[in-house]
Amino acid sequence: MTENILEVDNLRVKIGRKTILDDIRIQFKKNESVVIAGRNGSGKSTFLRCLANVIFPDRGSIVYNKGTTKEKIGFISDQISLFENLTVEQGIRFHSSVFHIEDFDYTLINDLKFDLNQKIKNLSAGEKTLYHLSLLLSQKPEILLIDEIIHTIDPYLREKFLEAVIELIDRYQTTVIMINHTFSEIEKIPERVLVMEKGQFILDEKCETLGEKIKSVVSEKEIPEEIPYILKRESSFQKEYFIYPFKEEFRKAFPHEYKELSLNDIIKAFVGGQYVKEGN
Amino acid sequence: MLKKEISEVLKHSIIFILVVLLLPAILLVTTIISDQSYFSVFFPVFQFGLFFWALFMGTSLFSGERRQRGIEYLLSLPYSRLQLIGIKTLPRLCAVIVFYLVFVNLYKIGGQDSAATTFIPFTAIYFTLFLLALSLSAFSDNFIILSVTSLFSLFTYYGLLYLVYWVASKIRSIPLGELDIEELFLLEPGLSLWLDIPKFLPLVAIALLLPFLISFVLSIKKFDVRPAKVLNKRFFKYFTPIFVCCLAISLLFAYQGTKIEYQDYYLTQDKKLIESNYYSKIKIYDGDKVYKTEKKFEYFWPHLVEDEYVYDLWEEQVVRLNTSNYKAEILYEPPEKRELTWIRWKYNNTIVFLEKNEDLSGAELVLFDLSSKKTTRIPISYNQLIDYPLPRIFGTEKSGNKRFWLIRSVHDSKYPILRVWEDGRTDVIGKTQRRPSFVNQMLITYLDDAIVISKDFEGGFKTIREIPWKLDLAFSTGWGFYLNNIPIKEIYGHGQRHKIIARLDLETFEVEEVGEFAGYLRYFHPGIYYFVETIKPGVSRNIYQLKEGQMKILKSFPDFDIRKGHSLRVFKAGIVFIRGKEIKVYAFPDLKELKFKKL
Repeated sequence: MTENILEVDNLRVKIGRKTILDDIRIQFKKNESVVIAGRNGSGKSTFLRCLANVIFPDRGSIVYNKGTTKEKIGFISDQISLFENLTVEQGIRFHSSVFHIEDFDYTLINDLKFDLNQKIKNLSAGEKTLYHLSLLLSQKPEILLIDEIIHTIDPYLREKFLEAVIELIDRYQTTVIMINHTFSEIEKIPERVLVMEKGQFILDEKCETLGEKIKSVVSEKEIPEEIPYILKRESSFQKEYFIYPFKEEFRKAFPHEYKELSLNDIIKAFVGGQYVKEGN
Repeated sequence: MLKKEISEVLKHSIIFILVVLLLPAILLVTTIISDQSYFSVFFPVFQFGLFFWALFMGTSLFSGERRQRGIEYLLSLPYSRLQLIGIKTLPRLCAVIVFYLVFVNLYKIGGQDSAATTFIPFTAIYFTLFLLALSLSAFSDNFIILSVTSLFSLFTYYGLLYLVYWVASKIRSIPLGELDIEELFLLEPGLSLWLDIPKFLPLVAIALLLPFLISFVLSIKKFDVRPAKVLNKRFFKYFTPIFVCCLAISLLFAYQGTKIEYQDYYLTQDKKLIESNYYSKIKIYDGDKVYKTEKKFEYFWPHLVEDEYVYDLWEEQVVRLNTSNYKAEILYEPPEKRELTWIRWKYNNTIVFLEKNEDLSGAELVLFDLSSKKTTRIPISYNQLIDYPLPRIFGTEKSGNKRFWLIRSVHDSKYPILRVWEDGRTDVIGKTQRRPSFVNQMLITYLDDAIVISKDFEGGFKTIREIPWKLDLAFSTGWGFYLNNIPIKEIYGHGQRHKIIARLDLETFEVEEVGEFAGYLRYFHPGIYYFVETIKPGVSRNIYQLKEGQMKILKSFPDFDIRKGHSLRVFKAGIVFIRGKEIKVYAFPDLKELKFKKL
């Protein structure tokens, strides 16, 4: 059984009087790639920042595997946070000295033809993201935390970014935890999906089994009460139910066609379900 | 990381140096300031600039990263928060110290004349501002808010410092002015490098700074990217209890540091021992018992004893202590904005003293009648008297039917003598080279080469004898305080440069050398002289009585040592030897030791 690289227990974060994360208990395994989704303000970024040591929890613990030092954790913020007054070269030297990197990997930098004397602040948002990733790649991180950043990058750089992440996972058995909403772009990456709502995880499933656990059914009639669903979409002609957790016996109780869903649709259903509940 | 911080601080230092170097040049070139040397404009600009430098160095701890939006990157670096603070503070602290050392050196080589503020207050504000700003550096994301908060904290801090000393002085019933604490708040240029600051002041100052610094260290351990109010809440959670503790500690230090302990003793004629201390009740030891006055006095300094009454020398009022019923009584208080000069004299039933305005003008001789409690005021219009803060009354006599009072002052190392008549007339009798005396209705004055004895013959003082004498000798009835003319046979004196004790026979007017002078003479009215001899400087004392040209040793104190705080007091009634906590009292004439049980 693969060992846990990270264990989170009883995690709570408050900002002012508002509880952002509440009693989170979760483990992450080595070389696992995880995607976290959830509606805006659900606490995803705060959770990632806690793992990156950028936010201190008010309560609870985050325990890394022995040997996983802070030097082996990489974090790319959705805010694109770098020392922007430095040049590309100065930034590399600074990062190398702080993280004790002896052989900085210029592959990505050279691929993208960065001017080393250019100030970081003059790079585009996408270039900054790739630049930051290149810094982290040289760090050979055991854990890579990526906040919702992919949507800011153009398709070319996005492809480069995702290739680099996949290579990292393959070469260094890095655990990648990323926040993303659009799974079409990152379909190759996640093994596990987490959905967050009001500071808690409401879904924690392996991708390979997720398809079995959530189905949709379209009907003109109401479904029986014993069948749980996370989202109901209604039009004047029909109703569409997103059933979770799905069980085979539901086919007998309510004989209809149960459709498989793509990862993207599953996440949409969960996030949409939160909005509907809020409306209720 | 440290290299990056150093290079950032160096960049800021260069900008600061350029500003403080160029600004005076611009002021001079544009003639906004003219007719001054570059240095005299540069130095105050530099000194004021240093306040901003300290403020900026303190508040800029995270401002660079915030400006570059790099705070998340910074916090994700493999350092603990305390390591980050250490790395970021060290170069800033060094820069603050380096510029301070530059300031100190420039101050010494001529900056003192053009300094904008006094040295000690500047030093205190400079470092306090830096530390306060540092401790509040995570208080807000906004540099202006941080600066305003730091300055506000500085004012609060100084207010607290003042308050702590104010409370300590109130508890001790000491006027705050006595503590010299105001010196710390004066920003006038030209004061000396070091001030006579109260004991433990640095400890009080540090104790009041600690809540800021400790709360900062404790709260910064969990510093993160959440809004500043999260950190501030944590800061105040630590700050409040630490502040209460440190305030209490600082009060204790201030209370301890304001202890003005200067116990002194006076032996009365009826063998009672009076103990005086600053801002305390007077204690009177009488055999096995001890009594205290009801009222506290700034410092009751007995000097004039008559019957059961002891009069004070020091207070702003005329105070008399009754040693029979142990009650202290304020006989006279000067009107508002008037003050008494130092000593009070007594003639028959009248207390005589000088009074003046706070600005030394409006001098008056005041006669206070002890029976009727009425005062008679005689204005004195003589500039040389009022210029000198300690004029002395040294004699009184009647001429015709009018009484006059002799007053001496000091001017240009000479002693002008003034005769003030009871009807308000003032005569300037002349000047004498050394301190004059008035005994047996005779005025003793000095020329460079003679001692002059004069007498009043209704038309004025006329010389009755001129004794050739070249040594710098002055006869003394100093510390007599009684102006009643009781005839005496002899008067003793000593020289300042020529270390001799001499006697003047007041019948034959012969002057004779009695012995070598090393120590001091004590005179008690009428005609009683003692000589306290210093055998070695600082240690060992012998006490002699001077009578009829003879020096008779009364008692030796070989273990006297001034370096250990010993002191020896000779009174008309005996000798008090203070050796630390041990007080020994010997009564004249046989010098038998008196025991006071509760002493």
